[in-house]
Amino acid sequence: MIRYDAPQAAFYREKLIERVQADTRDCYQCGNCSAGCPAAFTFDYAPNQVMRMLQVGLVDRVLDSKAVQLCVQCLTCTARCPRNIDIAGIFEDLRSVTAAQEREVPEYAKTFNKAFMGSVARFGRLPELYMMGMFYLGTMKPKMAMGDAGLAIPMLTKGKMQFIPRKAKGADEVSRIYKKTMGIARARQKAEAKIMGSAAKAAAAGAVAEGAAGLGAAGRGPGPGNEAAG
Amino acid sequence: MSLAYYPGCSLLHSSAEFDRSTRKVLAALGVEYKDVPDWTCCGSTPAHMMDHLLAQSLAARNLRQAAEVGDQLLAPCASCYQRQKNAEIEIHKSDAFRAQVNAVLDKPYTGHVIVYALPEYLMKFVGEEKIASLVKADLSQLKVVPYYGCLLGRPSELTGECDNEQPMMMDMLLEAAGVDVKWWNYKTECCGASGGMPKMEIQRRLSGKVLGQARAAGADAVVVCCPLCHVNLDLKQSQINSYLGTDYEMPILYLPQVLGLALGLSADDVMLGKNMVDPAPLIKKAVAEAARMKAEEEKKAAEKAAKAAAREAEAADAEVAAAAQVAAAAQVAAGAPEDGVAEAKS
Repeated sequence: MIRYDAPQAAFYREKLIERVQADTRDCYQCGNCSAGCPAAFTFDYAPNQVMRMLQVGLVDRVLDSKAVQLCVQCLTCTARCPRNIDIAGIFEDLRSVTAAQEREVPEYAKTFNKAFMGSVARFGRLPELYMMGMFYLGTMKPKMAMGDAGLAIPMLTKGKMQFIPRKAKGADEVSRIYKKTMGIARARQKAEAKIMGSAAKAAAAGAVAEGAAGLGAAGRGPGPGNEAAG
Repeated sequence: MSLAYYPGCSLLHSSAEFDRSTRKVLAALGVEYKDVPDWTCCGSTPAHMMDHLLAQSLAARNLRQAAEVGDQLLAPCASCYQRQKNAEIEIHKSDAFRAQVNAVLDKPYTGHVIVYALPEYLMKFVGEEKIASLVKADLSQLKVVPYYGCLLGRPSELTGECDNEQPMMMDMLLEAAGVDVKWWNYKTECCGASGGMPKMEIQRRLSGKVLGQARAAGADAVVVCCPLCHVNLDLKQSQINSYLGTDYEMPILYLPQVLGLALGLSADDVMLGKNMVDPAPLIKKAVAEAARMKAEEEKKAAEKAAKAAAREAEAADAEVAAAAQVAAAAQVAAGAPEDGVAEAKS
């Protein structure tokens, strides 16, 4: 049973309008985004389902989803949305929220992003081999690394790989940009979580009041919407 | 107006052939440029998945560096292009956002640098006519499909393409270079680049579909203008084959490699040797085929001309004969009465 979490839906909707200029309420569930999505076969929720979940306020469940992590940002959904919603922009924002919250998320996209940005912040330019090493260290999956190890030989013989990464001149500035912006993002997330927390408390208080008024609070059970209150 | 060139990280090593061929083509077309001084990574693709301000600031740093050279920035890598174009648009549109970005940078970006992708720059500032006029090698027997992927065509408001689903700039450039461009439906389908490492199933399946569609369209090679597309289709083609049980052996060429060859550059100039699936035999075959067809056409034309000449000579002979006949007949006609008279006289 889906329970609407109106305060969370409204809060996140406002944030998306502010940050992505996309209004989740515009979605009328035509399913064009899911039909065109090339990566949806690996998702737990199709893009249109994610849109619906945002409309009803299942934000936490969306943030924990595989879909948000596995979106390949090909922009097909955005290009084909008849309501001109920047769906890829919404997915991008959702994933940056999980990054700012330092949330535990499924799949290895987070590991990849961290390995990539960590390497770039250190050297200024991407040292491809070093980054791959950092990624496979981060995954702790030697099997995954072995799958790509076969590519190393032709890349080396063709001179397509740099062995020892060199620091570019602007590397220090890049490192500062990375630290500053992620700091700003984390601070913003904390502030938002506070606002959401108090909104959730108010909502819970409202639900209790409803229950006291005999409006079937018992029938609600441990629904997905209750996650937000926790 | 001077042009700043942003190679980007991929073009330094894993896509060295893209960098070299682009520079050679620009030189052959007489385009002058300078490298962006002390450029750094644009953050593509992870930065914008981690934080919006991070992504835009990394790109803005490069725009600031490019402004030292001029107010045009050419980023051949489609992913670098997309990130820097995105930042350019947002920063130039809003002073408030520019201030936010500048608060993060060491030195503020105050310029107005416009970012171009390679096909876009060539179409706008060089033009099909000029390219066509400089073509030296006949590539009419090279059958290719242009593959735009996600970032060269989408969203069309950003990239300046005519349509989200049907971008045309690479088609037009290749046609201007005299290449046989095949029509297909997979121009803008994703190759799965950004999921390539964390979730290889996405890359294997999507890139496999692209190769299958290219083959179905009757192409012998796919032309790309993005190092990520190239890695997925070329470097990982053997992995795709073993994952999907296919037998693709499709050369994947960079757009400037093909343009360079058409403009008369050698295989070494455009670094064909760096491609994983060797394109050299295909190029040789196509050039030889074109030469054979040209020779055959010339032979046919010569035969045709010889036949026409023979016919003309015959006709001329006939005319001469006819004229002689007429003359003889006239003589006969004129002489007969005389003869008759003479006969009568005698």
